[in-house]
Amino acid sequence: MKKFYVVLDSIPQLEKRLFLFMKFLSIFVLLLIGYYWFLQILRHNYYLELSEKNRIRNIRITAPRGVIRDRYGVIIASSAPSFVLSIVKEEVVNKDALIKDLAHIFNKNPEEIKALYEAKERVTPRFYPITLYENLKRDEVVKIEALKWKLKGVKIDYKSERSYPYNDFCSHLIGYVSQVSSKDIERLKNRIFSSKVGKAGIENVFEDYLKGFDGVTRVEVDAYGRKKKVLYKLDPIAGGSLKLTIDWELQEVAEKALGDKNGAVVAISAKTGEVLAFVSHPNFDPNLFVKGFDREEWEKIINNPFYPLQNKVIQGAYPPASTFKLITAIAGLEEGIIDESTTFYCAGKKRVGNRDFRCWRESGHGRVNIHKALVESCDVFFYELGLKLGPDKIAKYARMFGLGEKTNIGLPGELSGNVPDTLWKKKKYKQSWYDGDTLPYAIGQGYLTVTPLQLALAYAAFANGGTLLKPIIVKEIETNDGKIIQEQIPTVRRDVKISSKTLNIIRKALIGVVNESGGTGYAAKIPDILVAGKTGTAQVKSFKERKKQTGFLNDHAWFVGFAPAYDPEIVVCAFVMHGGHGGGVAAPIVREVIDKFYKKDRVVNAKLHEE
Amino acid sequence: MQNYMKNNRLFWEGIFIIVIIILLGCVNLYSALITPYGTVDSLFYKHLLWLLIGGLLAFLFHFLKPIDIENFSAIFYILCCVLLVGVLIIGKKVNGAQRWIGIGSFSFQPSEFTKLALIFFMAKIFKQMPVVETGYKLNQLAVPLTIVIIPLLLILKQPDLGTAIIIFSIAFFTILLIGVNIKLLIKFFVSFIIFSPLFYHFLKDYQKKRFIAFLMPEADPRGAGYHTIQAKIAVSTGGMFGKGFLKGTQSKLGYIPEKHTDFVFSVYAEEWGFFGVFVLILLYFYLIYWMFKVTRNINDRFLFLSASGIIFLFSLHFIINIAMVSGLFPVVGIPLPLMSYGGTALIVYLVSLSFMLKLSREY
Repeated sequence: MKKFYVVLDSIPQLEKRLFLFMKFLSIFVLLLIGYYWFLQILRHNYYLELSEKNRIRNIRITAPRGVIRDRYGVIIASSAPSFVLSIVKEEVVNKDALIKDLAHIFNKNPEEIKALYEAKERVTPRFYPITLYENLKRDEVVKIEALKWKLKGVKIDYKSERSYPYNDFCSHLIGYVSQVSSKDIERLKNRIFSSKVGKAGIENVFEDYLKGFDGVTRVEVDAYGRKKKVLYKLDPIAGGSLKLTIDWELQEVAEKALGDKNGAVVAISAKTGEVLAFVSHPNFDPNLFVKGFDREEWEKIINNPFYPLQNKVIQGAYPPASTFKLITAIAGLEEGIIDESTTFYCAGKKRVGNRDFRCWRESGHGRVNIHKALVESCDVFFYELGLKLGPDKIAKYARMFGLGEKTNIGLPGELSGNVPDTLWKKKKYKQSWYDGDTLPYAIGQGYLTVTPLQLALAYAAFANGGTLLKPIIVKEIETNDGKIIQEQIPTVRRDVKISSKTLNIIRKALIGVVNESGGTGYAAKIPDILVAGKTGTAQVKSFKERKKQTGFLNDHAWFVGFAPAYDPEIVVCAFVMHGGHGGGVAAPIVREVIDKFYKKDRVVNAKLHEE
Repeated sequence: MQNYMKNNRLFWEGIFIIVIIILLGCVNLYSALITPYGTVDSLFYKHLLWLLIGGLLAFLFHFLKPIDIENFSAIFYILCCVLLVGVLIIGKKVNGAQRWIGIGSFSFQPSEFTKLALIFFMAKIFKQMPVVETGYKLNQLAVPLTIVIIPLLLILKQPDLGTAIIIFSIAFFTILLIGVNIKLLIKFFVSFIIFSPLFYHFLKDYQKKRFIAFLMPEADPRGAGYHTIQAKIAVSTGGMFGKGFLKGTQSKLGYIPEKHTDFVFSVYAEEWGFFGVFVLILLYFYLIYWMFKVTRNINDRFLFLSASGIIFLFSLHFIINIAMVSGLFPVVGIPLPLMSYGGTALIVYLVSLSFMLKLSREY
């Protein structure tokens, strides 16, 4: 019989080696068990988090931002649905064809769309739809809907987006919203980010009221980004709305009156401090911030030498020029240095030391009293008065009227201006005060600077008999269902004690400025309403320098007016940068605003506008 | 007779453990193949069909005499090589690799058969070679190396790196087992280190990516590292006792690619947790230990080497697959025996196990 199996000596040796293999295997098995322990028990929580990130998507529902209205209810900032085009990558059949079709719809170069697509793709997390365009126009939406059968993977969603129906209307006060930056994220903790926040003006200050609370849909998605089930849904809560003190029509008139000129116009209610108009020019269209600038638009803004983003009502401090004579005059009268009959002789200039200080009228005003000095804005009278008062007395009265301190209007970036005195000069320049400094000071030039809002409030304090008010811009804060949760009431900052005699003398003089022949503010005269006011023409400092740099030769023009003169309701301050003479340039602006204020059908028009 | 009874116990021990693993495999595959609509994918029934076919073949294999296997091994080997050439000519291309030959609606992978054919043929060759006390030298190993290299190259051409690694490793361990000259071994390791960059150069791009992804899976989490990260998430979120049968979110929501084949173990680990993983690893180890118990009784060199080859086959698949699923090994196409879906592989495993069962009774 044939022997089937040949037994070789080497078998025990093979067995030994195989046993060695088994030992190695055991070690590997132990290592694997150890590693699975590590992975499943020790690293469990870490991977659990990754898994949730995988599986669960939080889809934000942007809360509609609260509406901002004017005092009569005209909507200045609203929330409008914005159409968003996004692409679900997994559903796209032919990417190149799709890009071609989109290029056709948007009238753009396919390469451009492709570049955009790829750029957005990079920043979009896996399986999230790629947002290609926001703020689609209606006709684009229609075109896309019509071609939907062809555009596989294209999705149109809509979300609530800030919209400013009047574009650049009141832009500095309202401010704007735009995409959050990393800086905002630090500031605004506990927020879901990706949306837009208020960056300037009211939008910024009242962010918490306007924002509302975003909703969220928590969905479970599969690996292809398809929604499997909704785990949880939280509806958004709309933001509260604001009612401003701004009067839409007055604002519009003020903006039109200022026109293309650069500067500021502010109108306030003389008894309450409510801001009725708030204009700064050049301005900007806040809608551009919402949708994002293209390069050209952005450069247009930042290359404008007049800084469109600067709010000139509160963020610009300028020498008030002759409008400041109000303060010097009050100081003179109250301190008993002059009375209504005190006169000084104006020969067109005043020599102090070895320097001539000119009056604006070279031929001089002759002998002038306080009334004439204000009406005709004689500089020499105030030079003399200023010398008698000294800088510290002037500063005392200027401060009493709120100059040199912030008005606390509650908007970011407000300047306090500068009210100089001897101490200030010593600190700043390590020099003592000279008479040569006092002369320009007395007529509102030199080191003195004020913001247009400060000046308006100082005049209001005078006009209402000595109550310095806090400016109010927001009248009411309402919840999204219309309940008023906060109402701003007039706040007195300080009572300025002025004798009625002084008030009377100066009031008459300011009426004279507008209404008497020879008055510098004649252009502000309105037939039925008694307007009082004061012009100002500020020589631009370091004249030669300016000329070299920008070629802006003209003086700043000021006019502050109030009406009716004996029971004032409205104070309007107009400031025109490099505008020329206050009487010629600024006074007509004030006239138009006051004129509109007293037009009877004003409220009705505003209400109609809302419809 | 007494002896026969004892060995019969070893036989039933083997049957017991194999059946348990197969059942676990079916249960897990059912979960892996459940569709979002709550029904089970038809591949599950195909798996059952393959089990039936494989079981039948294994049963028939049981009646082959060991000497027949030894005699047929050369023919089996040549047949496999021919089929491997055939794959490259008429094979079906799936995912860029040409690995399958289709017959009707079924297709099979000759490379899987090649593993077994090579084990048997190498055993036959080594049986016929004289034993060398100091271990074999390179010139003496020329014939066995040639018969390894031919199918290896054919498989690399498909390309199927996973199977190539398995075949290479089985051959490597077999040569270690029969004894190799220590100097040759050192030379081999030195040249392996020197030439591995060259080898890397010949890898396909996707293979290179996978290799880099293995070293740093977080570097490209959406691309090459995706398999590994998602599988790791599945495994890890299983925790101590798992999410429960049919409750794995990673697998059910489609985050795990190849969840019914190479990555089937991640489905298991997610649903049964560390506890389940521990039990299954022990079961596999027990299976291999059982094979070892069977093998050490064998006093025939061919059968001993064949059985050892099968031990290597199972061990390598088991260790590499479980390591790969947890990110300890680069992603290569190496399935988990008896758990992963794959007809040809299943037949090969069942036939191999049938061979071991047969030996458990014979010795």
